[in-house]
Amino acid sequence: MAPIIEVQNLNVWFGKSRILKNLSFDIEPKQVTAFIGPSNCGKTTVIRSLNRLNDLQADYRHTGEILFNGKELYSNKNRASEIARKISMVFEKPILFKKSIYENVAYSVRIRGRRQMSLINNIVDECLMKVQLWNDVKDKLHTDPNFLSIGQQQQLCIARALAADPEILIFDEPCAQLDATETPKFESILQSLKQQVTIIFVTNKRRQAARVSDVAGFLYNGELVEIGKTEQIFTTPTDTRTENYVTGRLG
Amino acid sequence: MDKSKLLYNSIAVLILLIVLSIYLILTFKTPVADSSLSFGSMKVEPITLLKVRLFWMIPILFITVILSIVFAFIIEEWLSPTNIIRQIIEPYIVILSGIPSMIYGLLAVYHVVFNLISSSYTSLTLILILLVIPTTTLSTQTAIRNVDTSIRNAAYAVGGTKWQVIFDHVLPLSALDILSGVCYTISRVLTVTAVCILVLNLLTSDFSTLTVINIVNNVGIILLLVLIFSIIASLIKKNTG
Ligand SMILES: Nc1ncnc2c1ncn2[C@@H]1O[C@H](COP(=O)(O)OP(=O)(O)O)[C@@H](O)[C@H]1O
Ligand SMILES: [Mg+2]
Repeated sequence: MAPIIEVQNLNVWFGKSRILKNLSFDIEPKQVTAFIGPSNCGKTTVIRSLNRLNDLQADYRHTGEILFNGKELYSNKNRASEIARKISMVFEKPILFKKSIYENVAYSVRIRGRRQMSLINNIVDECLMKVQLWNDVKDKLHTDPNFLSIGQQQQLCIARALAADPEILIFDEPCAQLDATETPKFESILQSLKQQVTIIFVTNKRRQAARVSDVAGFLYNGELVEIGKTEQIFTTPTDTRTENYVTGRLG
Repeated sequence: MDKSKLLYNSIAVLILLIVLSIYLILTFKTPVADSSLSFGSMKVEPITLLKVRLFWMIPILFITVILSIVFAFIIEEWLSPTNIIRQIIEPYIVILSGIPSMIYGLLAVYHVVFNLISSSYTSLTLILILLVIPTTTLSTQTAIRNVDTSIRNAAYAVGGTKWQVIFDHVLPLSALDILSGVCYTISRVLTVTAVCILVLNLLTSDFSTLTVINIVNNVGIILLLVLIFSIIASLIKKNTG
């Protein structure tokens, strides 16, 4: 299959400082691609360049080419909001709107102009099921999500992102705020979603990347040191920096 | 403070000083007393007339407040902090909003008594604009900036357009703070009004009829409103910082 995202020589600057240096990689559809690396190596910057959320930063600038389904991602023909919907994102902290559980998910449908109640109800139910939250909240759909645990709130965020009907779902260190008991559930959700969407996943937990990803890329100081099949990256890396990182000697 | 900010601030101070000087030179030369408000042959009670004039400022106040809020949204949402227009404009907003309302009150009295510009409606309108736009814009900007960026990110990430993010999230989340700023501005405007009425009252009254009751009659309600609005402003403010 053709790659869903193709990146050629991506360089990113914030103001005068160069954050990413000559990144080139492809993202294959319906796979989990993980970016690993120590903090501040540029992981968040890479993924936010892919869904144009970096457009919101005043001093953001990039060179190089990013293709999404073969077409220029940053072309003027694309509305940034449409790209951000097709390449939706879940953040490190669960960020919920001050609305009910139902309305948080329904929002993603409503902003696309779909107002039919039955359609919205179906999508909300379906998305909550996909993230394995349905049984916990089905009687409390119209209450405030504050009573949910952090992990459940994160599940709700995933449901909201799914309701936007994305082709790619990006996770930026989604387990950073979760405690260890909630992580396995998250990983199983990720595995079940990959039949439906392409997943890009950023983490600084090496072992988690090894468990859930098909492809892994190692970022270090703004450079993509190495990208390849997860098994290969974790067992027979070609670069010594990758080897040092995956074995825990670096970062 | 970085270099460009220092530059634009200095330019703003310089320009404001020049405008102030020109204003003073022009107005000191030609003080002509307003016939309708002059102390000798009065046809209309001046305080009553002034009150009518001030009353007509209410719709103008309303429009100016709305415009300032829109203005603040344009600055915050469409002009990046490095945008040159924004860098040029912002020092004026900051400087003008810091001037005590008493100054504007005296300015208003000065204009009304000496009828400097052809009509005192024009003078009062200009003073009102000068009084309202900077404070309302600045407080609205702060309110918008206090909306957590993560909420914006989350809304953009599910495909929200700029307008949707503003109307669905930024506006509702900053509404109370914006309202607080508006109440604060109204209390400032009312302070100026009270100063204006009080001074004219003192100027035009025969001292034998000038009593505490008389003063309370004229500005009591306004001062009460000043207190009420400033208390509301403090109470509904959500984000301090
Ligand atoms: N908006 C920004 N302006 C300036 N520098 C930034 C901005 N965002 C990130 N950076 C810098 O870019 C580098 C990479 O950041 P980031 O992509 O967030 O790393 P990671 O997600 O791997 O921790 C850091 O050094 C950070 O300070
Ligand atoms: Mg990060």
